[in-house]
Amino acid sequence: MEIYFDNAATTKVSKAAAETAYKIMIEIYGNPSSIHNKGIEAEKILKDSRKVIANYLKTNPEKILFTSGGTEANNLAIQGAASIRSGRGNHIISSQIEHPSIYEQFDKLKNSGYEITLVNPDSSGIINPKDVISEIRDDTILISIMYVNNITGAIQPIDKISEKAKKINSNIVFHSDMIQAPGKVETLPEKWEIDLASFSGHKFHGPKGTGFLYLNEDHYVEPLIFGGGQERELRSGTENLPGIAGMAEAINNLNNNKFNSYINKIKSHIISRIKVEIPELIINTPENSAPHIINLSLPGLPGEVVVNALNHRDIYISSSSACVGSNIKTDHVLEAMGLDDNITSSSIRISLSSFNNKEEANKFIDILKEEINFLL
Amino acid sequence: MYKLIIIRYGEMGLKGHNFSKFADALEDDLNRRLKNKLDFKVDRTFGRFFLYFEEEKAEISQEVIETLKTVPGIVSFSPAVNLEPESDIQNLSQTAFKLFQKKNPVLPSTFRVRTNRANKGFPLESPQVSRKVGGYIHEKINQGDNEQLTVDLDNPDTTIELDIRKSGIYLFIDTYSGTGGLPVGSAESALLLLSGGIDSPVAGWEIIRRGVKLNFIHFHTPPYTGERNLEKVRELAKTLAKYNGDTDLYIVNITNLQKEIHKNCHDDYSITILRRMMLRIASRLGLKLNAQALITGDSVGQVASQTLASLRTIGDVAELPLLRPLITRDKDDIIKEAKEIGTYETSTLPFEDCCSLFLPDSPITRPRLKRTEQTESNLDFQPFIEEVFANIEKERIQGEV
Repeated sequence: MEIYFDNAATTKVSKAAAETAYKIMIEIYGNPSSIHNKGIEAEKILKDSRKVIANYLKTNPEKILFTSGGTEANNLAIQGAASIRSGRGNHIISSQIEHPSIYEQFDKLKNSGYEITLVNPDSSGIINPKDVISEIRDDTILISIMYVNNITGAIQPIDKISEKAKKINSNIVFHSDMIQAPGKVETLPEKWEIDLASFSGHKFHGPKGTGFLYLNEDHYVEPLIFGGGQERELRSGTENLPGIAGMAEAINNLNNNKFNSYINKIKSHIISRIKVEIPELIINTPENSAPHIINLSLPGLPGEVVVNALNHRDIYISSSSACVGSNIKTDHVLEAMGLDDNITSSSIRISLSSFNNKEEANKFIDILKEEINFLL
Repeated sequence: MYKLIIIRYGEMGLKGHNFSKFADALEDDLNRRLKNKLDFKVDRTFGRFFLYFEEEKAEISQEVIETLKTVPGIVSFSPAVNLEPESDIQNLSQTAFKLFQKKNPVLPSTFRVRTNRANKGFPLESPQVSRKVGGYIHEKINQGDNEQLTVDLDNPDTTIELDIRKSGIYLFIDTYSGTGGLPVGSAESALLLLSGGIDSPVAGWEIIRRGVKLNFIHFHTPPYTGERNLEKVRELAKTLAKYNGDTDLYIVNITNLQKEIHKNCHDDYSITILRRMMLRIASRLGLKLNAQALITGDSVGQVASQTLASLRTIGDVAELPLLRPLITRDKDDIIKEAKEIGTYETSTLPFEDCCSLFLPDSPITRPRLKRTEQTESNLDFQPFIEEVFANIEKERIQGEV
């Protein structure tokens, strides 16, 4: 029996989502822009999908903009908002715990004249709103803080940050990478006054190559991709209809938009067994975290080694640290939390989904114990 | 236009009564390597291999040319046109001109015609043939007073060659260099210690080039090394098998042995000792496979385990001759060759074949044999070698052809 505990990397596509995508591919294959019947029926699917996704987020369909995935949504949000607001200022605030699809854009932005301030989290991996607010200046135009951290699972208080930030400077657009959230924690960008939020279909049992940007107002971003003017001219390119419909089906099949207590039970079970049975494991995930991510460290052992060991037992987890030549690559999020080298270099991440169960969790712990015994 | 490829072999032509063994090996290898790329029949007369095509070809595919460049034993080869032995000079000239036009060198340019007349019955002598054919082309290209094409006998841009034989007349304009060496499988077999690095595949290729058939052995330390590393080694083995022919990759798990060394032996000596263990295991497997030598990618002075002192101390335990084809080669040179044989990209993928956990802070650069044996004696390694040996996994590697 294989155990897939790497759901923060990607998830298995749900059967319903896969069937929907397949059906669209072979039946409703028209181009939504075409004026004939094939186009009209395709456009209808597009519209329905947008509505399903909007309903899930308790917002309106016109605030959903389809992209090729989370990375594109993050790029469109950051670069699109930075360039459209460049007349009002050039200061951007973000954090040290963002995903590469956010922070890898910063060098380019700096070269184009933007100033970027990165806020550190506290030792539990959570950004203190005060630390963000105190960095706001007159020329601050964009704040980007992720919601659920993909490495530790820590939930960031984005609603508080957004609310306060806008009171101080109304020029600010607030973006949040919410890619790890749907199906795991309550996800309400509109309610929390988030202006831009990024999502990725394959993180919640939808197909890869799908995603969307929630945007409160069209004029918050400038397009990065030009062409046929799809997605209200903000993201050209023929819509990936099978993917979009599959993603909508997947989001529709998620539990209601709340903290997922089913997954959380499995997580709590794993953590409580680890505390008792493998006390040498250090738990890096804070109390206030998403129900699907557990980050652990086994000081002295590169995370990659544990991943390899479990791989041989058909258990799939991940590690953000790796052996690179004679060095060990450490994890940037754990580093930002101020943790020791021996912890940042030895972390592993277990990430769950609704497809997992307690039996798998028990088997996982049993095998992890055996492997660690051998390795230490 | 083209009816055949003329192949010239080098060294194997110097073989006496053994020649046919080498020629058979080359023919087998040509059949194997070109199997899916070309329909042909081999004619082995007169110090050449003639690959006659089933059908005349307008072009020789790049794939065929690139393949022939890496068939060991071939010194050079030329796609050729074939005319009847009694063809007249007019026919020769026209055909030569066609070849010239096809090559279409940028003018102004220089050329020459070279003739080899083995068929003394041909009415004109070699220099006469060259002059007539050359004159014809010269006249065709140079219209009016404007001389765009001139003759240069020493260093021309283009050489048109005519080979006049009793069996036929062969004309060609392109000659490609081969890799030389000796046909694959014409020598005995050896065992290559294949890591995931840049050097060992190149060392393997150098030995394959000399006609030696290889099996591969790879050492890994799961879970300290991962599945990706193993995939990389399989990929390298597959690339080498393209030249070598189908073979076996022996995958050896030495995790427990490495851990014992780590626990019991002086840290500075751990790599020296580990390498000695690898050679002990490789020797034993090599003897079992009837390999005549072990091959490694060592190059003098490249890393701590490749100083002369290290090579001596490590090599001391080998029970088969230890051949190190890259011993004097510079890294740049090895990298260049790795790119040519198509292993460089794979070798430089970021998956390590040794976990940093086991790398000492300062490996000893001049391990003395006595001292090494001393620290090694802290370890009762024989049972571990038995265990390792009992668990060797063998995978069949098929070279993509």
